[in-house]
Parts: sequence; structure tokens; C-alpha cells
Amino acid sequence: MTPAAVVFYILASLALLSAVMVIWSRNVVHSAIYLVLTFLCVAGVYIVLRAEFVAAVQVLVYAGGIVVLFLFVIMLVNLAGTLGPRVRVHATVSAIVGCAAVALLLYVSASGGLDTDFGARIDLSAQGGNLQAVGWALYSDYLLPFEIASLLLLVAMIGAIVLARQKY
Amino acid sequence: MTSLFNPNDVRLITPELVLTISAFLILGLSVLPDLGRKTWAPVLAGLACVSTLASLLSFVWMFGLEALRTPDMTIGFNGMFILDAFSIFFKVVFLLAAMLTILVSARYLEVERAHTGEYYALILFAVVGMMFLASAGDFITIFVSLETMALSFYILVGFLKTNRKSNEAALKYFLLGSFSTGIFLYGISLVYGTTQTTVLGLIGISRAKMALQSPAAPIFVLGVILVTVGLAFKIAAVPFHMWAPDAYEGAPTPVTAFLSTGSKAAAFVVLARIFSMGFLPLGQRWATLLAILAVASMTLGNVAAILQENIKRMLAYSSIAHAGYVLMGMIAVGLGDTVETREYGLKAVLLYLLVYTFVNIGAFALVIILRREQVAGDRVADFAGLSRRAPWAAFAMLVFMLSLAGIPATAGFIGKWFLFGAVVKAHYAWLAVVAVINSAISLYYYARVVVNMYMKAPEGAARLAPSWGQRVAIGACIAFTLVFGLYPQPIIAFAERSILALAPWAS
Repeated sequence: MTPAAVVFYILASLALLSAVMVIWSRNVVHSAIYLVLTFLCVAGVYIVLRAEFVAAVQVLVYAGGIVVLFLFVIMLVNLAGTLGPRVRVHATVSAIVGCAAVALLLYVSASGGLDTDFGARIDLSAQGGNLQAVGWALYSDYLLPFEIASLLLLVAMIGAIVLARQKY
Repeated sequence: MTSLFNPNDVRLITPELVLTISAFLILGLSVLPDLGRKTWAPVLAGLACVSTLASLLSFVWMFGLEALRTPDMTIGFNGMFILDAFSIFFKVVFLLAAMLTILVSARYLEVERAHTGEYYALILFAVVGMMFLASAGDFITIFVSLETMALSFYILVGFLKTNRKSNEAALKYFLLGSFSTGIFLYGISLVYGTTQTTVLGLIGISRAKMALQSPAAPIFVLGVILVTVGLAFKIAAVPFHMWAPDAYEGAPTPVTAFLSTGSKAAAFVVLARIFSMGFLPLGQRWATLLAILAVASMTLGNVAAILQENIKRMLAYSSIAHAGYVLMGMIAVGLGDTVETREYGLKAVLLYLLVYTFVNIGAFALVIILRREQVAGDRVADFAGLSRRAPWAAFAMLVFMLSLAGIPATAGFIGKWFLFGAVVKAHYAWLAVVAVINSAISLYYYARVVVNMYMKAPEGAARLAPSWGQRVAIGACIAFTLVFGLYPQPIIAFAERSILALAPWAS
């Protein structure tokens, strides 16, 4: 096993473990903290794959921005007493469907098609490294989706204003 | 090597740009000091309507009517954008649906006291998303455009902020929609991982076959299944339909009309594009998958529709059933062993979606004009005695119900004829039998509305007061349903020409 693979397995199992803890813990603040841990581990996996830019974005946007937003909501909205009893039937059905999905994924990944060579083989240093390569791709091949994405964000912003405003 | 932006490509997206710019203009005008929303809002509605018309005309101006007749394919933005007759067909459908929706919206929003410019801007943004979707040539563009459309709809469904049902509908639609987006995205990532490309054409020509022969084949197949599931959510096929009845019932009725036609057609255009361009080598496999979805959707949709007292819920279940019918066309594309069968199936899909857009918006327009101050007007019982209160409205509803049931001499019959014929051609006659039985079941609940209108005494004596926009829209829908029901050649020819460009299977 290469060192990269060892690091990957450690990070991946930590990410899975904390993801399970997100749904397991009964305290929402704990859930949010576990979510940060998941995001950080995934960022670590990106670094193993030599996608430094994606890793940085992962930390900034997800671990930073989104979880902070979660914590704000949790603290502003009083969740005490709103959780209610767990619905047995739904929990059973969800458990069956969830386990079946996990089993399917495990079966498919065990079928041998997955690449287990963890060190990245793509050398981007000629193109000025990771960040520059992403920038090139965004402004050349992926220009159109990039522009549509800006429209998407605008729609999200309008939606937030329209729905949060007091009167019409 | 990647090439930078080519200014000539902007020409290709002129119709989309027209809409985007007018949406910006409407947004700008709607923040003007309150000259009384009452004076501004109708102007903005007019502006929105004119901009869809302008966008429609820009096709003719940019490409000429000839473009609709040639099987040419213009590719821009490094393969991200495909302009062909197939995409133009759907863009026309989306623009017509938006235009009809805007026409029936104004009076309704006044009654609901929610008449603002943002509504029209969001409708236009949704259309822009749909139009890019129709032209998307790779998974990234598909995903981003799909989300632009979906996000606009999440907001539109919850647009009646003071209405609890609208809030609930928006939340359910948003949560289930985001969940399905996640599944769709996971599917895309698996397909990308096994084919090393997001470009549909490339996957269809060579990469799909390569992936199927590699050890990673199960992962590729799983990716295809997850993409199917994600899209099944969007077309509200059983068992991924849970959001539809609640979202359709709670949303403002014009939004429901647009959601059930525009958004559904947009999901089908992606389905058709991905499956016929990218995943055709797996045709047999996904056709089986779609057959299961189709049978479940038709059966559950029609049976559940019988039980509904609320007409919006009834039409929601009916729209689930109709998604099942349309899937039959795609099944013929997947199973077809000859080019003719595949083309026939795809032609049936296009034809049906065009017809369904007019018929369903028409039916919802009638529900909209029943909504007045103090009267919700969305129960089946609210149609009681309509023939005496408003004979023309009752006649219109009669036409739309008959067309949805697929009675001959209406456009709905033509659509169903081709869909049923497609599966028979693909040697899946049993599916056509299931569909015919389901059509018979559906007659029951469509006829119930008609019986209410013509054979029951009216409950209230309140007169209907449709605006001129609503009259125009309903008139257009009736004219379409009856004229093309009796003389369908023009729309059949339009659908036939539109699929010529999308013929990677010709080889």
C-alpha cells in the first residue's frame, strides 16, 4: 500500500464515521460540528488527489461558510421540543432502503472497476498548477455553464429576497 | 487544446439573451418607488408576454424558417451548446407555455394580492433555464440549466407567502427536488468517472461502449440508473412522484400549469437528449427500467386521480399518468431495432408534449378563472352547474377533459395514437394494452368533471369574470386542441422534421 493510499483510507473512514455521527447525535450543534469534520476529511482526500484548489474551496465554502450558516440558524431558531417522537414505520422503511443502497454501492465498487491508484497521475505544473488550470477550463470550454451558473445564483438571491420580504 | 471564447457563438443564444435582458428590465422596474403596485404590475405582465414573443420571433429572424426544416446541427461554446431543430422545437414549446402562463396569471395574482414584477422575472428565468436545457450538449450545462429552472420553480411554488399550503408545497418540492438533484449529480459523476467525459456526443459515439467492456461496467450502469432516477423525480414518475400532488395543489394555479407542462417537457427533453445521444448503446437496459416506471406511473396516477376531490390534485395525478404515457415513446427509442421505430417513438414524445402543453394549461386556466374573492374554486364540486353559469367556460373544460382522456377529434387522441403505436412497433404490445386499460380508467375521473358541469345544479350564482388575457389563452388552447385534433398534419410534420437532427442512431 502506498503512503497516499494509507492517508486516503484514514481520511475516508474518518469522513464516513463523522457523517454517521451527524445523523446519529441527538444534539443539533454536535451534528453541525461533526459535519465540519466530514468536510475537512473530504478536503484532505482532495489534497491526496492533488486537487488543491478544490480542497481550498471545500474548506472555505463548506466548512467555513455553510456550516457557520447552519450554526446561525440552529442558534436563532429554537429547536427544543420541535423534534418530536421518531416515526417507527418511516424509520424502518428508511433503514431498509438505506441499507439496500449501501449494499448496492459496496457490491458495485467491489466489482473491481474502481481505480485504487491514489496518487494523481495528471501533472498540471506545466499549465501553471491547479488554480490556473481550473481558471482556464472555466473561461474556455466551460464558459457557457459558468455564465448560466451566475444566472442561477442571481435567481437564488432574488428568491431569498422575495420570500423573506415582509410585504409583496 | 482548449480554445477561448468565440464571439460568433453569442449569435446562437440570442433568444435566451432576449429573455434574460427583459427579465433584468422587469426586475429593475419592479423596484421603482411604489407608484401603486396596481399600475406597474400589469405593465410588467405585458412586458413579460412581449419578451416571450420577441424571443420566439428571434428564432425566425436569426435562423430563418429554413433552419426548422434542415437536419443541421450547429454546435457552439466548445460543444456545450447544440442548436438543432430538436432544441428549437422544445424552445418553441417552452415559450408558448410561458406565454400562456403569463396571460392567465395577472388576474389570478391580483385576487391573491401577490401581483409583483418578480413573479414574471422568475417565470422568464425558468424559461431561460429550460431553453438552455434543450440545447445542452454536455452534463455540466444540463446540470446548471436544470438547477436554474428548478430554483425558479421552488420560489414560484411558494410565491403566496401568506398561504400555508403554498409554503408547505414549496418546502416539500424544494427538499425532494434537492435530494433528487443530489442523486442525479452522483449519477453524472459515476458516468464521468467511467467515460472520462461529460460530452454527450462523445459518450454515445464511443465512450459508452468502452465503459461497458471495461471492468468498470457495473459502475457505469449504476451511473445510468442514478441519472434515470434523478430525471424520474423531475417528470414525477412513480415511485418518485411524492412531491407532485402537494406541490401542484399548494402552488399558485398558473405556476401549477407551467410546472406540469414546461418543467415536465424540459425534463423530457433532457431524458431524450441524454438517452438517445449518450446512452443509446444501453438502449435495451434502460428501456426495461423505463417500462417499469411507465406502468407504475400510469396505473397509480390514474387510480389515485379517481379518489381526488380537489381538482388540482386530480390533475396532478393525471399528469403523473401522462408522464407514464410519454415514457412509452422513450421505451420505443430504447428498444427499437430499426431506425424507423426509434424515430417514431421520439416523434411521438415530441408530439405528445406539444399537445399536452396546450391542453393542460387550458384545463388549469379554467381552474384559475373559478378562483375569485372568497372562493378557492379548486374542488371538483366547484364545477357543478358551470354549463348554466358560464356555457363557454363549461364547453372549454369539456374539450380539455376529452382531450386529456384521448377521445378522437381532439389533439390528445393524436398524441396517444402515436405513443401507443410506438410501443407496438417496438414489440412491446403488452405495454400498449396496459396504456389502453389505463386510458379507460382515466375516462372515469375526467367524465366526473363533465358530469358535474352539465348535470348538476349550480351551487353559487357568482358570475365568472375572466380577464381578456385569460380569454385569449383559453381560446388559443381550444383552437389548438380542436384544429389539430381534426387536422394534425402540420404538427406531425413539425415533430417529424425536428427529430431529424437528433439521429446519432442513423448509423
